[in-house]
Amino acid sequence: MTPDRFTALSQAYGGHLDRWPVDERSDAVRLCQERPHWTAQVLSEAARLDDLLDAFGLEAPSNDLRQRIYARVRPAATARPLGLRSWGLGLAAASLAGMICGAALMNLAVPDLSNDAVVVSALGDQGSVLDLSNSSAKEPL
Amino acid sequence: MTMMVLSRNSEGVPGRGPANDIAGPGWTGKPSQALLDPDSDMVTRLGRGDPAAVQTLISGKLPRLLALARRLLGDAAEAEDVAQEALVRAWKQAPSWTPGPARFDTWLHKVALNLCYDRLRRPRLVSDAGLPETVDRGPAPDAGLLAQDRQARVEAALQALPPRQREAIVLCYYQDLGNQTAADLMKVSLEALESLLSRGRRTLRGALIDLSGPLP
Repeated sequence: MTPDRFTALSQAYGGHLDRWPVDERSDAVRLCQERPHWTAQVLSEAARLDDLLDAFGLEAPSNDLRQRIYARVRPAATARPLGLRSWGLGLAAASLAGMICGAALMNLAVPDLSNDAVVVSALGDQGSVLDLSNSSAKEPL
Repeated sequence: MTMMVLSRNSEGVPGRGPANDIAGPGWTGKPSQALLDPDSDMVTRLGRGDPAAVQTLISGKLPRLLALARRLLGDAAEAEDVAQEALVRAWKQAPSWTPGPARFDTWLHKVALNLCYDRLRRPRLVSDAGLPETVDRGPAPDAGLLAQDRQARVEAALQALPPRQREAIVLCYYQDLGNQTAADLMKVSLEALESLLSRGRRTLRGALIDLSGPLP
């Protein structure tokens, strides 16, 4: 690396070699070893502007701004189309609910065969199949 | 951190993507590059609507985006708007994001930069309140006020730069993007970027010479 190139890089990228293009760093380091005083002076001069630039610090984002962004994103996040995993869980939950409901309906729709009323109805008695509360139907034949 | 070291590229910046890493989301690229994107897992979870990923996105990216917009626009309120909009767009794009050669962080910078360009193109009411152009000759202030004055001077000098020079310095110095990524974002060659940086820094040095003392 020529001294001119070293100077040009310091003027563009500053006084710290770790900010320089990586493909030129090893040559720059070599030049620093060959001409330590001159390169140190060049880097020091560039680093003075770096220090000034560092004075332009910024405060961290406010909580208010964070909350505003979260408010715009968070409600929609819950409305995302469900993923495969969610579909699987939903399907399982729906299946379980269906089984429970089905079992409950079966209990309602299928009479207890031990119930005397059903037996009476099947034999053509006057009792109503659905009128399970009819006490007369429960009377022994 | 290990991942950052492994992903060093020709720009000399850890973890930075290749030259063509400013495409939008949805493109495909080398899987090896995708694995090196430290944000890929977060973006995937974001696409699934994971609330924790939303928090990670905001806490991880908001400071950088806000700093980028603040230093480019010179206006805190506009910078907040830009950062907010960029993050909302990131969230919207996340479900269709396909890991590729471009890093998510670089794409996010591109989104924020475009939003800044839009605002810079608008007619603006420029206010220099809080940005003193001249040195206060009054009684010696305390250290805190000196620091504030120093910061205000640097900010004013940065805002006084031609936009492209300011952009080059903000991307390379403050955002710590590599020279190739910065050049790609600005759509200029490396030589042009270097020229913009040199001219910008020279102007800043001249504007702030009283703060740094005489050069040796």
